[in-house]
Amino acid sequence: MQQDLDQTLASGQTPSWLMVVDTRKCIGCDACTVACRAEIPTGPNGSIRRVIQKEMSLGSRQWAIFKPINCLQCDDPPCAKVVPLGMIRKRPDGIVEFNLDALKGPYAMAAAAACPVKAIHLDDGRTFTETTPAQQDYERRRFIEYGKSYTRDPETTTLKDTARKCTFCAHRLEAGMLPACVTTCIGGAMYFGNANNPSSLIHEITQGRRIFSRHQNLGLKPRVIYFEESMPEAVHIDCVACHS
Amino acid sequence: MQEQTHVVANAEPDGLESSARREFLTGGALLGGAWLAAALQATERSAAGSPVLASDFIYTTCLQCNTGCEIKVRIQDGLAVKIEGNPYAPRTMDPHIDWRTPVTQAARLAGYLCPKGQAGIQTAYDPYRITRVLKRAGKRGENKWVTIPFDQAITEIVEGGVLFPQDGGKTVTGLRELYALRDPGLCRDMAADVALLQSNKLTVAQFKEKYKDHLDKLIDPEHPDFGPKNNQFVFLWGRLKAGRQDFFLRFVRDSFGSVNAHGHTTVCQGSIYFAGKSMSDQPSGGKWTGGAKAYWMADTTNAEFIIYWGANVLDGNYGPPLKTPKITRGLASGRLKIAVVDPRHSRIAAKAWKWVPVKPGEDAALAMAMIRWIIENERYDRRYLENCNRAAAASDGEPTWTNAAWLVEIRPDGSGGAFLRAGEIGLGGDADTFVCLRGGVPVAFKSDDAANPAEGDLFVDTTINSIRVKSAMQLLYEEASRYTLWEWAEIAGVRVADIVELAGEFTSHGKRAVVEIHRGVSQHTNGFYNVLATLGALNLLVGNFDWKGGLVYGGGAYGESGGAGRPFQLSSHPARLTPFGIDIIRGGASYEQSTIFAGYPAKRPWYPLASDVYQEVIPSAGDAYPYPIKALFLYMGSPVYALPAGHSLIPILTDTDKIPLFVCSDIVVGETSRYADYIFPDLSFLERWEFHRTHPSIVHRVSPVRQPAIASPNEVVRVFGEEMPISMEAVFLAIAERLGLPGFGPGGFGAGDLRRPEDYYLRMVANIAFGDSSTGSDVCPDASDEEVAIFLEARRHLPPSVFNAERWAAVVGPQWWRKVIYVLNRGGRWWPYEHAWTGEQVRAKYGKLVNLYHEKPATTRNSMTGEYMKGIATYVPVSDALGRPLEHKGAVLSLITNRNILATKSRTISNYWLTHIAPENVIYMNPRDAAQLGLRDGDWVTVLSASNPEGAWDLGHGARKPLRGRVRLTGRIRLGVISFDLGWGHWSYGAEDLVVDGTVIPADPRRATGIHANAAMYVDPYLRSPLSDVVGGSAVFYDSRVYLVRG
Repeated sequence: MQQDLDQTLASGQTPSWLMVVDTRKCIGCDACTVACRAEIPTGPNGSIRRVIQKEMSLGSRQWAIFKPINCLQCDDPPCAKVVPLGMIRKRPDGIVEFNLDALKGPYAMAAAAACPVKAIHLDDGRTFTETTPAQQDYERRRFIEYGKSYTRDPETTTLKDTARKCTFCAHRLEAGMLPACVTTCIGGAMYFGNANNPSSLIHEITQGRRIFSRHQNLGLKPRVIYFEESMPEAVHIDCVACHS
Repeated sequence: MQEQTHVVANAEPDGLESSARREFLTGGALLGGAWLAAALQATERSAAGSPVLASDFIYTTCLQCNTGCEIKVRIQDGLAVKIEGNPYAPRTMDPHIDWRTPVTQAARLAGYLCPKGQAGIQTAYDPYRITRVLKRAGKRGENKWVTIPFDQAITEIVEGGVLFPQDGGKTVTGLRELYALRDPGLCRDMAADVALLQSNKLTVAQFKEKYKDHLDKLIDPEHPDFGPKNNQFVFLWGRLKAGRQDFFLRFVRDSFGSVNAHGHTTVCQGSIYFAGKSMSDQPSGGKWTGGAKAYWMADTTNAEFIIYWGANVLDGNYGPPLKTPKITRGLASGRLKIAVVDPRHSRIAAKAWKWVPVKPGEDAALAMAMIRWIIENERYDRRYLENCNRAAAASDGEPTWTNAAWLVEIRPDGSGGAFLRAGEIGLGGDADTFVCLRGGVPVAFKSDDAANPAEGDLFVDTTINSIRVKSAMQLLYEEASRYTLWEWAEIAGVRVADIVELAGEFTSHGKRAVVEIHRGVSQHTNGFYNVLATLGALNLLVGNFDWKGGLVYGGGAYGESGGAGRPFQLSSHPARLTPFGIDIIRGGASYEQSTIFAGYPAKRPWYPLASDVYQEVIPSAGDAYPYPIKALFLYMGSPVYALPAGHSLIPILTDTDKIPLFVCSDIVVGETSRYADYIFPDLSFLERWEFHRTHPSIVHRVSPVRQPAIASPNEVVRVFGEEMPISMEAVFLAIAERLGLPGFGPGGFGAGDLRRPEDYYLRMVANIAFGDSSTGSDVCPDASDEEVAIFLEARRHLPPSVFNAERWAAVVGPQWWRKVIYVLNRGGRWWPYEHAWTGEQVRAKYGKLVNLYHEKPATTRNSMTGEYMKGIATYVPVSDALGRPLEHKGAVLSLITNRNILATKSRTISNYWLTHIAPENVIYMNPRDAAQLGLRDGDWVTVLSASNPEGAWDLGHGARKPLRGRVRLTGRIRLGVISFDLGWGHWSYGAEDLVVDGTVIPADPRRATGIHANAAMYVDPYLRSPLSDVVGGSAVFYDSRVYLVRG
């Protein structure tokens, strides 16, 4: 995947980013959730990545499945339809970009409400340690989001009341690095790459697979899709058990 | 690295599934145009918070749990802001990149890492960190403190006196007085004579006469085997790894001369380690010695079938990052099949072919049933088991052999005793010459003989020269056939079909099938024998030791402390003492040979097969058995929180007569350090040195280095003329300076100085750089000028009290400095990926006898019952220390615990990124059990038990923490069993208000959530301390039963 990314950046052509999640390799550890928060600082009232767990019982048989969720980077994003033009932009590489300086307050709330997977949250600008005896400096660090520099310093932050969501780690992609959730996945469940590159792994693994996407069916054209790799020697349950 | 392939999910014979190759990137890939372009913009991006420069990272080693993953810490404006996996290391990248890849290329690469590892920033940057020395202002455990100067604290501890007027004017004995025996020669002589005393070759009277001028140096002249007063200084640790351990033991044992340095092994999995020690003991001079705390695990990369038995590998058990990718890839490719034996349907069970919810504590019943089926269906590896020695094994291409066919003498009561020696039946040889039977003819052999192969019949029950003998395999079969499969199934609470399916599958993959175990097997009163039955007997039956996909001992670590050819010998000491005497936990000691033998049961258990019995230290001090202690130092441990029934320690810790001086090293005021007299702030794992080494499931040789990545918040003090932040090292250095202890300060190494931590640890790094070849043939390269610049630039934020390049260079000298930088720039040293296997076996082999039968326990008496222990895997019912059934007083719900990947016992509640995901823990409960009690999902309950009818932690001074939590109903737990995630339910560590210098530091309610139900676990009715496996030493977590009361 790193080679694919290098090739794409070297080619100079506009990529078409795609994220694929193999839910059967996901163990629900939330490594991605924490990596995401460290990479793109968010506060205690929301997370731009989460992993849900579903359990099922049938007699003595038990199942548990895990599914990570973040912004689907829809090609036809419902969030963009409920806010003024320009606040939410669909980039040529597929990333749905928020104008954080404008997408605030009621607009942010409207965008969050429109998301079918609840991948957007309203940032209240708070930090994890501001209610403790000492606000910690690491939470004040500067970071890049959509090309601009931000901080969560309680004194100066401009993120209060802003809509936050997954950026596909656009700042990392520009620097030649895969998204944080992809590199940290200990189950190897995350795939990422340029769908336009026919020799890429991401292209290859989506060929001939049973891709599951409820949201595809809703016409959202998501850039995050799920599939189930066969695990012949494990007891498992299909996605359709929940999403029939 | 190998060529990439375009096939996605086919298994390859070498186990490196091709999709892994696709995900993995080669070093060469980074030389593309995109990389150069990115590098050109790097400075600008770095300034804005996007890292791509090699100098933005310091590579070190995680300590959020004991896996010790290699990490790269991203530094921005002098602060750690993100932690990622280290791509050079097999724990965090699979396959990992070659060690010689330039750091400029590795900068953009991140390995994977679990959520705890990534949240480690919050362990370091914890608002509740203590940074100056705290001295208690009230009674022990009242949680009132004053800050005092470091030097004052050292003076008080060394000199003693009336240190706490509030204690009624009691005088505390200082370390100067305990440092009684100082002469290395006298110490050595006394040690030798105590050994003679213990073997009845010298009387106490003779000893007293010989040392009549030195009796004041002994704890009790009537009991010279207690050793010198030095032993009344006790050092106890929780998490401590190589390097720091060597440094600390240098102080405690070599310089101060105390035998009482004890680890925490038994709270984790002591009975695995001590069963492993027994499995790895070798015959020598008629005795069985030299065994290691061995813990074999699966070669997960190549195994075809693994039974994870009481091993929750996707949450803990030495490494979700290490094991998970090998498991998920193996499942996806069809290479791997998994069964899980656990009362709880754990995270790994969610990926398993089969879940067998065994009854807690009845693991051996299931194992013995499998053994019976395997033997009766002849599904064992006869060829392997018949080999009696090295030569026979070698002729079959087997690296290891076992004693299945060796003959054991049978006592009149039918129990197995010692092995038959050849000399006893006129076949000559010495005390290490054993006998097997081949075609009815006795054959004498030596175990390690590489020239004369001996193979024996497996099932022998006969009499030779009037000596009744059986083969070890025969004894195993007799144990396994005590019950029918149906009876075993009833005891274990499983179906016969489960037994047959498990045993059948386990014996259908040749040597690529493994039983891998962890705490669920060992932390029972019968833990030792559960381990012998599972890890031991079952794996030996398929002969999988050292085979690819089989059971492996691990690749080990590069020798950092010295040895042949290495540049620095860290054990050099100008005047080493020889600590002697029975230690406070009676580890490795014989009750019968002691001067306090008084029949059975002993006052407290003796542990001839174990050491580091964590739950025994404080209760032994409480009972002054075998002798009273004067000073207890506790390092990075929280026995009150971590031990089952840890509440039983509190009355002892608060008693200043039983523990007159209690000093803790901690980064916060924690659940145990809150009872201390003094707390010295320690460095967090991101601020200090250590050498985490390896674990048995890592087939590569690995030497990760833990090194300072960030500045410490601690007060900077001066010791031996050197400035350093307060740390455990600083405390020991300061005490050594005050007492004039040899081995520290100028000339501490004889030829070299030991004034500060780096004087020790940089020499270790140089030894790693040297490598393992005594000829120096695998010495590491010098760092280039560019790498030197990166090294310095990456440390620009570290203050001179932590990092001083000139001084560091001087410690190792110009010959080694650039090699040290090469290692530190990568955070360690590792074998190349492919190097781990050779042919069908692993390269790092155990390569010795693995015991199926254990002569040492078979000829040693249990100090509680007075009976000989069993020498073979067997089923033993759960019991108290005296072997009596436990009194449940009507309670029916078995209480167990489980790890959650989001928490590590006592020390991650400060990690808000984790508690945000799991704000509290819950009590997992089967809905059918809940229905009986009328409980619904989310209901609050209080947990009570026979030994804690109040259902609360009694913290002393009227403070209590109820055992109260919420139930979560799930079918993923066996009927009749409840469990909770360890790590929540805190009452300290920022969860309670502190008073420091008269000011209240308010608690954070986010840290007090959930339940920590350890206090409902049983206190042993005889010992009045946590329930224990008196053979293997484990603290017992899983054999208590509880009542739940709504509310």
